[in-house]
Amino acid sequence: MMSSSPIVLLVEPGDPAALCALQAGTGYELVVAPSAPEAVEALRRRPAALVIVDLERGGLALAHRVREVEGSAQVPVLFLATREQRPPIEGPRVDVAYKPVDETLLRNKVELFLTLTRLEHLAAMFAGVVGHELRNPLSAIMTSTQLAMKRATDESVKKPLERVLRGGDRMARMIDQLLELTRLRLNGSLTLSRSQVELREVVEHALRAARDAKTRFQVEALGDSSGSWDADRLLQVVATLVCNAVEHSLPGSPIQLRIDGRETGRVELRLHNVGPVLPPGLRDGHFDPFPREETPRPPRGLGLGLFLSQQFVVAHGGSFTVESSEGAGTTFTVELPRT
Amino acid sequence: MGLPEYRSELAPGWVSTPPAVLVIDDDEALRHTVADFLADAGFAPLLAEGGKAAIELLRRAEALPVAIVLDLHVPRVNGWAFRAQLAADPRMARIPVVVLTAERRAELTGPDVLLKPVDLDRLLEVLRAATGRG
Repeated sequence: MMSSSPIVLLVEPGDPAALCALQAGTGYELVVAPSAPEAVEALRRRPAALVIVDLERGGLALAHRVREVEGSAQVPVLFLATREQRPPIEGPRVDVAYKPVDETLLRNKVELFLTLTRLEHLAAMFAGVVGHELRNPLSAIMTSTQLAMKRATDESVKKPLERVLRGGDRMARMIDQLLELTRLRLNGSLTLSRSQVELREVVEHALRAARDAKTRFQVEALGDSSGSWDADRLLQVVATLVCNAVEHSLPGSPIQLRIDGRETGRVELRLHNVGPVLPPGLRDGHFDPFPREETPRPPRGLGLGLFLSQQFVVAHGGSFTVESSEGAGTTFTVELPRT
Repeated sequence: MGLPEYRSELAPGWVSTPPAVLVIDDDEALRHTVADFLADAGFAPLLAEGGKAAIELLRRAEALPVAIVLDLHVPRVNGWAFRAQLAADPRMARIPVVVLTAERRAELTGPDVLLKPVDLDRLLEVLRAATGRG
């Protein structure tokens, strides 16, 4: 993917000094698009590592437009602006270079963005390779442990084997999540593979896989729970919620699941457990895959799993919300349109 | 599925010996574990680490296995190429294949595709459904 030089896309060049500076730069291929449609066309042909737009030439609208191109949702944008303009530099992957541009400064900024993109790409590739390579030995461990469980007659042998399986399940899930995150980062979006799915069956599957004899589940299913969804992703969502609930429930308290398919257009899944209140960031529904230092660390396994679950549900056009308070416990609500 | 026809091709007396299942996986530990499990479940496992060895084994075999458990990422002749070779041979084309894969790809879904790490009970369920041996 990064075998040839990365592309720097300059749209509607109005500033000769900027054009000149970029033409003199090395380590990238400069593509100049005289208009927005040509920029979009260029991005469809090959994604860019950086897009440069001029605020005086409709740069803001251009930036939005290029980020709508499939695969370019997260492309870094560098705005060229006059000192009087207030560039929209909120959020990551955005920067500004003031006109008249200092050629060296502009090239330095470009180089910084290219380095960032290259590192991100490497990190994503690395995660992908690690994920694939880890799955095979884990598979052998899990399958051998299952066989040993089946052959074991002694409870004192079965118990530790169960723990191995639970640990392995968690590891397998983490590998899946790592790979999903990698795909998301590399492509900027999710591709769903939809088929006719019964949410009720997905929930049953997730509960069977939870392998937890101690926890009680109360499941209520109302109406028609079918829809056109990505079965694998949906299972990941439900499994994440079930595992979190198992891990964070007060001992002895049941976990309640309610599947409500009484409405024609949508199906709702609610999962409620009694346990410690979620940390503030999570309580507000901001699920960050890699929480920053200053925010309190979420309980084990919560960060990435919830972030991905939310992404999966949103990709289906649904909503993924949470309410958590001292005393009342935690309720996750997943709402999915049927198609 | 054409299974009754397929069974009639087998030599008389085969019912008394355990039905063979061919396990193709390049991960030695996994291959042997699945084979041990199938032996416990009453099958006679045959083992191959890749598609080429599997084809050779099938060509030599007097009685064909009742099913094949196939990992797609195996060396030399890979799982896809192996399936193509299988399909091209009228003698083998009807052997049901259960795919084991570590890949979560949309095109790799279906009742006969199981994701790794595989649930052994599920594998047995799928094998029994595929071979008609409830």
